[in-house]
Amino acid sequence: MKIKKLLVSLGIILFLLIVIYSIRIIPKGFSEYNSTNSPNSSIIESSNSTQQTDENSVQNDNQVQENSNSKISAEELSKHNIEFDCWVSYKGKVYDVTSFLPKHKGGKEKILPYCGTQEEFKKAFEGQHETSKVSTLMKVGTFMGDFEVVGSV
Amino acid sequence: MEKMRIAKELSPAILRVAISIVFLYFGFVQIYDPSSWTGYIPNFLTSLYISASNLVILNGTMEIILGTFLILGIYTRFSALILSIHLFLITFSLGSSPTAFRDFGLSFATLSIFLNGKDQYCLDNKF
Repeated sequence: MKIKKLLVSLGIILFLLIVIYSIRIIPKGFSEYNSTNSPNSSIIESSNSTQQTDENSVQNDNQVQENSNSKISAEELSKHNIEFDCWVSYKGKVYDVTSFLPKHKGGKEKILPYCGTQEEFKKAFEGQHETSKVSTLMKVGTFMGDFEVVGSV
Repeated sequence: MEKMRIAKELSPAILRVAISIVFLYFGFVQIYDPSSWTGYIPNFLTSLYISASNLVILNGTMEIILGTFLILGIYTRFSALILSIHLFLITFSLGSSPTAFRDFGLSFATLSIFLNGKDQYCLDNKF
């Protein structure tokens, strides 16, 4: 009887692993569905906005256009380092993520230490999410302008 | 008296099924969208060679397998014990937050399933 129980259990595990594997290879899962229907989708970069046709995106594109000319220095960025005014810089772009802080699933405490930073935020962001959340960052954060790089390498 | 007896027989099964559904739901959500859950991975785990997303997938897989065992009533005690310990660890890693208090209650509910063992409706009785 114990062997029968073991075999049934192994069969269930095998079945579940197949189900899990099938879920993982479905190209459009919950995540993409949620991100396209999320009310947080406030800002989409103009390069990504070709597929967005709703009014909200058009409005956001205009905002991106407005901000795209502004350069933000490291000094300016570092001033926005509190819970109620939190800017972060990622790959040469500066985003205002203040409104997203309370919505962060890992808690706002995970982002707060990196408000007003560039390198530190990049390291922490990629440490947690690798690069899988880059598009989400662009959506949940308000694009404020390009990060002004001082000096050359 | 008869109704009370049936209610007493049913109550552990209801608890077991309800708790299993919680684990199955969170397991599947983690599999569907692991990147949304990487924020919950403690910092000391992200320093390992396995990525945060893969850790979430592994965690989700474990929750689905043990949740299925629990809902079917196979290895009921073992599944409930592992899930209970797992939830206790999550609770303590969350610190003092509303989510942690909810998980605290759920982990004790799972522990009570372990203490109770198999009920009348478990598949364990068939083997």
